[in-house]
Amino acid sequence: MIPPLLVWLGLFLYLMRVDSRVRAAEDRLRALEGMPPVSPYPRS
Amino acid sequence: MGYGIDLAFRAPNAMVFENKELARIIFFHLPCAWGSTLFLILAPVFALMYLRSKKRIWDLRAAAAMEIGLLLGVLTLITGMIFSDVEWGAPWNWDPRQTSFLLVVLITAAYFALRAAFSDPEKQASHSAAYVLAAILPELFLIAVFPRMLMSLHPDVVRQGGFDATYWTVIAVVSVSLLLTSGWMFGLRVRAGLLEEALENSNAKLGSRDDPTPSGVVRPVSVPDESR
Repeated sequence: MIPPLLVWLGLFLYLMRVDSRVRAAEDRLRALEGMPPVSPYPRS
Repeated sequence: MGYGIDLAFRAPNAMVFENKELARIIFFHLPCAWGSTLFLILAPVFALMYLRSKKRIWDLRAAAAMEIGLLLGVLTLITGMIFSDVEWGAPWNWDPRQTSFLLVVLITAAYFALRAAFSDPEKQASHSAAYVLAAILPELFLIAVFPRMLMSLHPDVVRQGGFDATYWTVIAVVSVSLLLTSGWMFGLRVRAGLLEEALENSNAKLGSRDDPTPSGVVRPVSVPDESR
């Protein structure tokens, strides 16, 4: 059971890290420039 | 993903392996290796697009592809070591394919050391793009050619036809789910890069305004000691 979960755990941890980077950058941008809550940058 | 894991446990044993139960790690090992190779092939395409257009988005895409290629490469090595342990008796055998893939992962990791060495975004992007383009041929050689030149413990299941249709179905399901997840992560990683760049630009604008003290920045001041 552990090996397949290992793969998905690795992906999940990476996903969490990138997601937290996105949220942190969005929050700081909004705080700096008074931007609206929804980010104007399109998803690539 | 859950469906893939479920299928992996219900698939019939493949007769080509010594330890047929634990060898099922191959359901996750193979898609990780393929996914890593795919992203490492996509990265030089993005790097080339950057060098042609000089648009920052292509550099961010190349960096994201390299990052996900590295992540899947590390997962390939870990799952490969589990497979190696149950099939060949030791997690690391210096098998040609194991060793060559380790070199690929190290070449990919060196890309991030190179990126970190430049503070100027233009230089960082152009040098990184050149590195990716220079690295792709050795990487492809190490992935596809070198392991076939020497005797290897690795089973060449595609050529030998060691898996039945059910086994291939599970590998296909896991591969598709891994590809979708990786694509999602790729988009998110590029978005993180775009936002962080926009943040840096905002900070630079704040720093270059006529007002020497941007709002929100508190400068330390010296307070005279009145007790003297």
